[in-house]
Amino acid sequence: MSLFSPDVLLAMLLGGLYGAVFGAVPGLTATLALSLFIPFALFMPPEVGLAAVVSLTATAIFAGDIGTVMARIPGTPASAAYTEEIYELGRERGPAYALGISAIFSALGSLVGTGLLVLGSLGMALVARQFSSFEYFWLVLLGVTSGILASPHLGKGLIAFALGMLLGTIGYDPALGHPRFTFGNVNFLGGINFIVALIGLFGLSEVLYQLMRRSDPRPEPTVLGLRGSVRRFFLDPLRLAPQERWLFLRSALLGTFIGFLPGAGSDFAAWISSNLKRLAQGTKEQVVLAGTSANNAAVAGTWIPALSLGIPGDTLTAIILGLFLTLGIHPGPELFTKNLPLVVEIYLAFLLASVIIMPLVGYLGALLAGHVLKLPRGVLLGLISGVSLIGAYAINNNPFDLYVLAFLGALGLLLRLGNYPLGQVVLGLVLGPLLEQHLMVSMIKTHWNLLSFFERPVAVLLAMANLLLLGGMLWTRLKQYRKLEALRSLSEER
Amino acid sequence: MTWERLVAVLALVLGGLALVLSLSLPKTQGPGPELFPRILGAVLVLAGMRQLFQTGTSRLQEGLESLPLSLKLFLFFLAAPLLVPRIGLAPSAALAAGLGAFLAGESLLRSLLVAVFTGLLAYCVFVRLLGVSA
Repeated sequence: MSLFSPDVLLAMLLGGLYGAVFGAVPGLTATLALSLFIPFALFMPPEVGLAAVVSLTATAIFAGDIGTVMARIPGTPASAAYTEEIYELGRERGPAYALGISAIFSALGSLVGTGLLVLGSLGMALVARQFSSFEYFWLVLLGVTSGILASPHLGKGLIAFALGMLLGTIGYDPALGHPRFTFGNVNFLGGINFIVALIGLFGLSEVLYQLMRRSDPRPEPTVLGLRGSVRRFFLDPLRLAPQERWLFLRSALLGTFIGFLPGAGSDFAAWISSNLKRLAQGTKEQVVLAGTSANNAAVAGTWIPALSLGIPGDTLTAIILGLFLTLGIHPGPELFTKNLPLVVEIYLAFLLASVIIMPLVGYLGALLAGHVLKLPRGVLLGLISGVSLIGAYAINNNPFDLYVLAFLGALGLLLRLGNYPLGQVVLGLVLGPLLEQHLMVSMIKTHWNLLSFFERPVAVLLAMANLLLLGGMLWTRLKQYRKLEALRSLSEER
Repeated sequence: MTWERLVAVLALVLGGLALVLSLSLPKTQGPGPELFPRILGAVLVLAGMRQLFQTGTSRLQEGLESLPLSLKLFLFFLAAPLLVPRIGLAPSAALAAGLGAFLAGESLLRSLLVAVFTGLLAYCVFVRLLGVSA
């Protein structure tokens, strides 16, 4: 099936619209949209399902800006990086102009990210063919380290990550095949189903959390009118592109690089890129442009380690890797030799999503979102409850999965209430078994000789990268902590 | 007591449980399947203890008054594995959706509409089109 077949194009269009609407509604994140969509994707041919997933993730990150412009509430964490600027821009020059800047530069950022995704993943896959379990161990550890350090609160990130990894130990152990923590229940032998876990952690827990919060924080949203909106949405922002080409290029490159780092993702990219422009006294347009092009370039960047090494760049790619494995597709260097047409299809889907889907669906989504934002909160929560139950059951037709759904929904609720990052649980769930597998295989191969982890040149380089990342991030955190303490004591003195 | 501390206690308990249960895992020459859970158990216990002594911001009392609403939906989902084989997927999904909407403060009529829509989605798309056993 080619990318330009009606099935794939329709899936991309609908996936994009679904992502745009979900991304726009505050509280409904791209992760939740993807978690609820996976049960549908599992029943589609891989080419159709993956094309829809690419389109969904690309538009959902952009659509976070729709909620910000229309209701001053960022739809996704990535949009929170420049909330004030884009909201003010919408008030001063109209929502169509603010959303146009977001959509056009998101599309252009995604285009740069796609180019780098092709080059980066092909290059990484070539290099990774020489990798043994030692190099993979260090790479996965790099993902674990950056995943923990990327969370706003180190202790909470560590607990969330370890909880995810512990959930990943249920079932047969990946190296020797001994059943663990199954309590004699055959349903646990295959481990916790990743997709059921996702729906529980993001879908059901969202409903339980919103029920506890009761009040609806959404103010009356602005509705985008049709009149003159095409010019303001498409043409005016495009005029800005030649003028701000260097800022755009710098932000897109930075975004792709941050996306490429395991565990970082588009939120991180948007915060760093927009903060850099803010510090340089940039205008509102420039701050928005920097943030939005970086976060969408990062979406493509996160796919580089995911496709070439099988290591997720963020929570979204962790979910997508889960989908790959459920479909029987094994990401990594072998994917490029055994399933090259699928890889090419993913590249093309990104290209199509950047050039056509994102601007077009972005526009339609912006028109629709004003009305969707008016949907009563209870209706949305009811729909999420129903779809969570359907999705968790439909994967295996096994009622036992609904117990897992309920317990992980409750765990997700507790973590949300305590401000623990849920994304880290998912990353732990994916990276934990990988880390254990590469650790155990390496140890068994060398009869528990720990020095063997430092014998191969690339392994040594990766070990040093781990050390540098750990040292660098801890140093940055220490500096931030000292600054905060100084500010606190200053305010106390006053 | 804060929600942060409650999760820290949970981490402590789960970490301790992992440590204890890993003792009964089969032994091999050198570390075997018990190594990883033991490391994770130790990490959870240590991180949980550290978190227990940190000051939290989200007070337990803040969400407690609306806890019964979440508890009702949680109990429904806990009963769902018994419900689905008896009444089928579409009616169970409809019940989940209707109950979710009703607990979130929607009127009975609107909750019914949400339930009917979700039931139809489950039946038409999943049962009829995708062949999920009902």
